[in-house]
Amino acid sequence: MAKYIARRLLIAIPLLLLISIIVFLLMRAAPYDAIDAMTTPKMSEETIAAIKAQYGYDQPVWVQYFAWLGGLLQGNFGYSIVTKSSIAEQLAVRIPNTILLVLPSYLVAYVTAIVLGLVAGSHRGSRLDHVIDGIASVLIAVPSFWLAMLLIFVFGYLLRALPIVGMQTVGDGSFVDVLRHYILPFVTLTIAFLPDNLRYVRSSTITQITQDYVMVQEAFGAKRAEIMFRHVCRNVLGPVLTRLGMALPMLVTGAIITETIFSWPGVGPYFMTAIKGMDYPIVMAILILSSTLVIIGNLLADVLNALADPRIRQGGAR
Amino acid sequence: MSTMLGSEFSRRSFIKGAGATAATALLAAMGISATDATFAFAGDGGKTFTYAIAGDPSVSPNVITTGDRFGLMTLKLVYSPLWMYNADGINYFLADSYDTSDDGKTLTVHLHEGVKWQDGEPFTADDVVFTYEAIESTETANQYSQLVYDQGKVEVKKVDDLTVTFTFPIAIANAAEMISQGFIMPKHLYEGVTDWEHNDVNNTPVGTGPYQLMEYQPGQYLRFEANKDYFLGAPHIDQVVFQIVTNENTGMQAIQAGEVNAWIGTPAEVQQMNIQGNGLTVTPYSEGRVAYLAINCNRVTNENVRKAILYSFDKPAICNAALLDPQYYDVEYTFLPTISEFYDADAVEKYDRDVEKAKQLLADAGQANPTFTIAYDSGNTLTETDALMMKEQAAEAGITLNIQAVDPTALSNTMLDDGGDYDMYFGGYIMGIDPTTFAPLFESDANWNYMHWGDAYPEIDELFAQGASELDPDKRKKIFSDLQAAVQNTGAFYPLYSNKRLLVTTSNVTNIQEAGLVPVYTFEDLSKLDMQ
Amino acid sequence: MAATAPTAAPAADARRRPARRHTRAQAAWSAFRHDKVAIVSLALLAIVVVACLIAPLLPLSPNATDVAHRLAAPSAQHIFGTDQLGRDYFARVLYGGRVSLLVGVLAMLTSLVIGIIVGTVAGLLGGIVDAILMRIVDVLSSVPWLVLVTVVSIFLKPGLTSIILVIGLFSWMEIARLVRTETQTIKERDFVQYAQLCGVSPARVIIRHIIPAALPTIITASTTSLASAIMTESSLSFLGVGVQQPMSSWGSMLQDAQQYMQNDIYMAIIPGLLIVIVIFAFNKLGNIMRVFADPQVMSGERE
Repeated sequence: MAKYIARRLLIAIPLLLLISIIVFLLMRAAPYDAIDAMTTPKMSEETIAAIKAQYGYDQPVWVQYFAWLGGLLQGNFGYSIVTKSSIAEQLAVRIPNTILLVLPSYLVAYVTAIVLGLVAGSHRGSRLDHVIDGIASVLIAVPSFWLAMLLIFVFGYLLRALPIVGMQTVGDGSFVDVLRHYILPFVTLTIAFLPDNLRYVRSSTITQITQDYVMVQEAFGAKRAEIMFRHVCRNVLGPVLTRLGMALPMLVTGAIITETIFSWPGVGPYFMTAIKGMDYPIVMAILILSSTLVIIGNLLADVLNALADPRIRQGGAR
Repeated sequence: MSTMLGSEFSRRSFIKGAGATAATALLAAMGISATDATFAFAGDGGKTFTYAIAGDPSVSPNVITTGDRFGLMTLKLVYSPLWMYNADGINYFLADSYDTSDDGKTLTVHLHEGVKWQDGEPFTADDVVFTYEAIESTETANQYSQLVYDQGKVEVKKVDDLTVTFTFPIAIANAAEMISQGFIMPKHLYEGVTDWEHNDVNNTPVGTGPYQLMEYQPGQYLRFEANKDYFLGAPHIDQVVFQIVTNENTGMQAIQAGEVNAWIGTPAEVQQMNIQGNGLTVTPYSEGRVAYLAINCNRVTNENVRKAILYSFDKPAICNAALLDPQYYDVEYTFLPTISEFYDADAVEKYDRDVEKAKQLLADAGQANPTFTIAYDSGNTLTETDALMMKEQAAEAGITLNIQAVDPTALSNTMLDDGGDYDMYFGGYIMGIDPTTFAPLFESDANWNYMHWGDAYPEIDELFAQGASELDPDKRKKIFSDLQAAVQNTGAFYPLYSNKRLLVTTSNVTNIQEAGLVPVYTFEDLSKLDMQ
Repeated sequence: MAATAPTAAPAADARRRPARRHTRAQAAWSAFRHDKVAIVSLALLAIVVVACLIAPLLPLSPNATDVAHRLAAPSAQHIFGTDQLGRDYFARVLYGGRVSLLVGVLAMLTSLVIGIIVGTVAGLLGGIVDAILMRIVDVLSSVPWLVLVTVVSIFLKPGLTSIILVIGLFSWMEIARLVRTETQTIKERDFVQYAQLCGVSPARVIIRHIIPAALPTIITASTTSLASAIMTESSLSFLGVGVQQPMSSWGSMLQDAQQYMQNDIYMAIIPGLLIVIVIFAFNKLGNIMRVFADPQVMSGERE
């Protein structure tokens, strides 16, 4: 097992390096560079040269790349062009806020999806199944931002029941206050995460149930609940578990739209402002961060998969 | 004059057009993070004034290079200037008065006695000299161009602890304006600092202003507490919070729900709100900001074609579509804002709508039914409306306008360059009180002349030069009337409106007039604002 | 698919196919006929699509402003009301729908082309090529699409073409996966192996044999892909990095509507509802197609 993980890790490292090179070159090729943002036409040549030197833009590209990579490894993500603030410090504040929103809503959506998916899948064709599947197919067609708008209209404007701005009221900031701010973005995200997982669980449950072994077991007089619990659940949950690993990048970028709408002080608004302001260092940092999480997530999924299915450990096949 | 980074230009500062400034970590070093945020402060029942601002302050706030609206608002609370110079005249802060020498070159400034820094150190003339010398040695400083001229630097000298002299290399009519607004920083803390933007002192600023910065949560809020020893009297309000609300709609909701006490809205937003039902007060005030359309002379070279375009527009209709109600704006006809004492609309060609004349001019120029591209900064609903209205109006004169939304940063870069692929674009500026402060926008070789008319109009340069050195008020008035007419005659600069900012406050906020509403900072002295 | 008798000669296979198509179509039709929701949603979809298509023929002007009648609620004169510049919202919704649907269709075609090429090449060649391509598919499909799409959009001039390209470039992975699986099955069949043995070039094999055989799968995948392309476009436009003025799509209309929601909620409801209807209907259509593509699966049972 350790050997398997080590081998997967070894594949991941060059992949990460490759991604970092691509990201770096992408940003170098961008139509507008950091120096343009920091200088004005009135500045003297010396001032411009000094600014270039201060930010290391007078060095050859490869030197800049290694300096940047070295910084990344030490947790220094560089500075924003627009605000000149440290990106690492910003992210250190914003990522926890995003996780606070994404993790609970993803988990709630995930557990709900498993329960509803198993129920619907095992009662395939029943009224209950129709209702659950119907809800999932409607929700899958609802844009999350539109859902958020409707929630804001109903609970913010019509009922005036819940706050719709940010994470807390300044000057209050009690737990109840944070909770009140939490409800709408949380509901939006949970609903956004739900249908995909639900349909996945439902269809794999159906696939399992139509397998021969279930019929065999039934033929042998096993109770339906017993079959469900002992066999179907286990077989369904394996791949579902690996989905959890794949969802890792969500922790950073899973709520961009929702955060933007609710002014939640997470990564989303930071990223969108950077995109619109062409603040490349920020975009670069978030891109690197989320691709790293993708790789780690895939790794995690593979490991979970291997743990669940011993055959993979030996064969090494995916 | 000063830093200028976009189509939005201000003498005092550069103000982000789209209003969405990215977040900054100016005080993350204060050791506050979301994970260990203690969700309770101000439990003392004191008065808290919460003001919604549309973005984080950019650049860790320092009095030398900070030039964005929210950064300057932060500085205004913590630091004090010698005096403020706005449309209503001079308002003294750290200085009590100043004398001008007979040759008009030297200003002798008398400082307020007994002022202390927030850490208890005394404020003296040394701090003033230190600050202005720092500005003069920093090319990127916000006020650099106000103090350093082709003929030399303004010489700043300490006479005694309470007296400083500023000696200009040339006589200029508005010397007092040139040293206004600049904040003074403490010499005893900043001595030895080399990088104004990255240093530890910025993280815990110590000023002479009415409030002290206590806490900054990037993307969330800045919290200030009253400086009880403020030299102009202890502030009425104990705590001020700048709540960062980047989304306009959430801001609208927050003020209506009373989550914030003050917020700046657009007419369209205010019209949507339930002002009376929520007990809100709307106070429109002018920033003297002129919004305009610039025609790129590099691309539309024929002056008569430019004029034809302008004759096809219906300015009052455009203003009305964008700003809804005349109480929210002044229609502009010259490059000076209507609140300027030199404003003279009677002297200029107003380009009132005349579709026939437009067609005639085009026919004479042999360019019937031309097509142009008009660019506006994406995300800006005001200029978007302007552009849509212009497109419709120009069509009646046979002119096709293609509208293109462009990223604000990208647009201001091409505008600075040569205007790129766009025949016309929108901009706006807040300049000084004296008309000479507008020279960087209109002189032939000016960096920020977005019309790019090259050397076609030397008379404009001459009039600016005459106005700057002329000290006789009547003659100046005549010169600036001619200047306004000359700029309009280019047919390249089309002032639209000077839109007011609408300050929306909750019913418990009082003394707004006493606090004074000024461009950029909103309140001239927040210590005078009160709450019930 | 896999049930095809391995011994069947190419000719026999060809002869049998029309008959199979027929029963498949019948299966799909019967699945459709008994699904009331599908009937209603497809009927609505048809109405929306036709209305959008014929919009230029109708006496509607989506850009004529009338500031005096701004933000008028729906009435007999303006059945969807007017927007902040007094423009007829019904006309704007139809013209916005043209943009949304156009971007959806073209982006779907882009991703279809890429997906088919990658899928067939990977499936047919196998080995190292397959491994590399599928690794790319894995990575691309797990990187958050919003991040990728917005980053790439920086490099392109804003405009319809860029949005279509950007969406197309990052949504072909699922199609590639399906086509690859299909290809792997098909290439084992005698007529394909025979063609390869005769020295027919892989490109020819793909075009002449594999694509036709995989067509049902491709068609099915394309409806789902169309739905997600429309969703992507509206999200991007809503965030302000998609369609730019003066053009508008349902997504960008919703972005505008945000500001006027408090008093004029119809501005937010109408475009949003249309997005839901269209995406729901295309997904339904995909499910029915799936019955057609793979008769073993009854409607909507497999993702």
